Amino acid sequence: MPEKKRKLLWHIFPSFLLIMVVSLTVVTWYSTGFFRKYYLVNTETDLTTQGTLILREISGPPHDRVNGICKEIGRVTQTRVTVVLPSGRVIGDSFGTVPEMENHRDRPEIAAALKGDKGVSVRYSDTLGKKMMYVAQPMESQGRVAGVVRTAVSVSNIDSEIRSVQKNIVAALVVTVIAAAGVGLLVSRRITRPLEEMRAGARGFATGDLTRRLAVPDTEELSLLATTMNQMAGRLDEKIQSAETRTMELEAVLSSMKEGVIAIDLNEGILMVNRAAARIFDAPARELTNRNVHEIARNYDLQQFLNKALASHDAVEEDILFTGTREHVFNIHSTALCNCRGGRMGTLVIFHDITRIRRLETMHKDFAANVSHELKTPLTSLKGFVETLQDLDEKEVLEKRRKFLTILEKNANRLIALVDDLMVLSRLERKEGLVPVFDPEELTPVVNTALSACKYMAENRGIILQAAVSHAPSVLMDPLLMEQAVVNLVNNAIKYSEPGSEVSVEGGEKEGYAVIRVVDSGPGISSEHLPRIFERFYRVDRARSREMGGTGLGLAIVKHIVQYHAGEIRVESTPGKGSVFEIRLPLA
Amino acid sequence: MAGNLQKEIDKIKKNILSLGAMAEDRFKKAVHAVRTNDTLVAQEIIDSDIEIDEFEVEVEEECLKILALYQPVAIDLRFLIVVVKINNDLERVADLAANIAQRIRTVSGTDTGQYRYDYSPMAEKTGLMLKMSLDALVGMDADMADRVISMDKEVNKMRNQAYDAMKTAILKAPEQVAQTINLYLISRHLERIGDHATNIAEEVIHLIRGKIVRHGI
Repeated sequence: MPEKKRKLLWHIFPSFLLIMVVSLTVVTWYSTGFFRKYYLVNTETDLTTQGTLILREISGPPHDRVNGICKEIGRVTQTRVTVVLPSGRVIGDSFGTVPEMENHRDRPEIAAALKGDKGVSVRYSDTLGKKMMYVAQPMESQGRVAGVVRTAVSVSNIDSEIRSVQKNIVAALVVTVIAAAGVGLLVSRRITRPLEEMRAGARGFATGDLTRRLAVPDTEELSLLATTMNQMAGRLDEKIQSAETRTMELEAVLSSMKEGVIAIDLNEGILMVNRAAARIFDAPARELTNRNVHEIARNYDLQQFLNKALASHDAVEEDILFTGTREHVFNIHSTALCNCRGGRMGTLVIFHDITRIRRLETMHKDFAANVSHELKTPLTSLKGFVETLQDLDEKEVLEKRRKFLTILEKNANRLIALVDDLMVLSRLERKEGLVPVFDPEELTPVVNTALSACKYMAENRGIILQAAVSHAPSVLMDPLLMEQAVVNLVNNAIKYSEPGSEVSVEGGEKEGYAVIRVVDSGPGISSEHLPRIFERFYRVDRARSREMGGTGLGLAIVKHIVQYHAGEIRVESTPGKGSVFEIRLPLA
Repeated sequence: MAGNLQKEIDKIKKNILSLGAMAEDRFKKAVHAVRTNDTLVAQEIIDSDIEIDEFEVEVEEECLKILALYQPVAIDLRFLIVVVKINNDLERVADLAANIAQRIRTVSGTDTGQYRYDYSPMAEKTGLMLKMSLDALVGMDADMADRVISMDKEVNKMRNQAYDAMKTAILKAPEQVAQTINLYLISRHLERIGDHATNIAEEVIHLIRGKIVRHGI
């Protein structure tokens, strides 16, 4: 149990009390002593004087009259006068009956007087039943002590006087003690009031209100304390402000980072996540902190990675596939987190989304390989046939010329188509990033021109071409480019549909967009190919596509054209049932 | 003592979630292998199944140790019992993923003209059930667990559809009966994985509501 704290008043008051009691006691003791001494000296002087006077009075008359004189003087002066012979016999006394009085020879004052000195004694008188002061003086005649005159007066009233003085002093003491308590209270109040105010201010500091300042009290010591505390608050405020600013800056940096950042403690609890990381784990950042990382990221590879990262002091790096609603590849990178004392605190993991980079890398690699392959195939074929033609003799040349030339032409055409498509693509790519300026154009003529361009091919393959353009909204577009996009889509649809089936092109308005839909009932495209069909040279079925005379760039061109128009291309496909390609363009 | 128990339980929780992640990972790989006919991935799943088996034993031993050492009561006891059961379910899910991988190895490499069946909708549904059941465990979400249980019927229906499709395929091409049966087995395995996800969901409900909802009671 903690020691009970006393109020300041109870520290001050007892010392006040002690000082007062001690000083008053000393004063009382000294003054009463002095008073008593003074009184006794005075009384002694009086008695001596009286004694001297009486001595004169009684030295003349005979012994038998002495008693009468003593009685007379005693009545007038209230002083007891006793006359004693050297033998000790009392011959005169103011109050006592002389014959009955005992021998006074042994009384100390008389004994002293008999020796010729003045004798003084204070004691209790049996005769009068009072405390008395006796002064005895020798009565000398012819060098001998003829008798002793003793004067006495009661000193009992001095004691009662002193007692009453003492009583008064005690009463005064009580009054002063009460007064002292009052003053002590006042003084302690005066000391504690500014302290109380400072305490309130300091409590404000403790609760974080550092902008307030303490009022500086009048007392030097307290004012120094208040000033120091104010300085402390100021410094603290500065420190906290700068720390807060730092935190805010850090938070701003973290939350604006595209990379996911999470800090994990040694027990794999999450210390901090930034917004991007919260998005990766698909939960609000607030809900993620303090939870175990295993709870929110149920990814085996990530868990293995974290185990490795927490076990090592070095940076760990790995590429990890996240399969959520969409597949993402992250390059994750961990750094050991240390606290201010240098101890290991956990690990910091940075998620860098490299899905796009990966995809671009693959596309790039594929593109280079594809272009060379696509160019090489017809060239090899051309070279082969040209060589064969050179080796043939006249007769054979005449016979096979037609067939060979057809093949050569077909291959040359493929090369031309390929180069054309590549040029279109590179032209479109060059336009990328520019803000195109279009005039509003009607959709219907564009679709119709495209359809008439495909008519011949459709008839050849026995496909029924249907067109249904409703409303005919107008769109900001380059009609030639858009025509090419539609032609590419329709050509594809025709190529992959069974003879006798139907390909329809629909135009219209939907959800605030101009929409062109190309619907076929071909073999369809299975789901794993769908995200990639717009890539260059991506072919669902390589052999088949080439046989159909495709360059592998048709859909890539469509995608580029649509993107150039700030539109969107979508595809839905069910294997075995057919596909729907939909171009969405913003309305004019 | 109580603090120690809590620490142990937290560790168990972490481990069961790890096991869940492992099982989910195997399942996803198996589904990927089904879609792409990738025998390498299939072999990888089969080879790494032992890891899950070992981990399952470890988690169970850990649970038994806690039960013996601390004699937990109420929610802690229920949690440990549920973990022991879910542990078993997860190990079975990983086993079934390995079984699917085995089927892929058997089917692929044979005649390319064979009958194909698109398992992606069924795999997606089963995967969703597994994911949701684990999410329910993580978030202690009984409503989500309820939804998992209600999804089981759809997966069963898909299995039956696959069965009908396979039956027709066998009648059409009886010489490929072995491949087709293997192909059908995949749907059975997927359906069983759905069942285990349902079990997990039921255990989660038991854990949260303290009521056993098994066998449709």
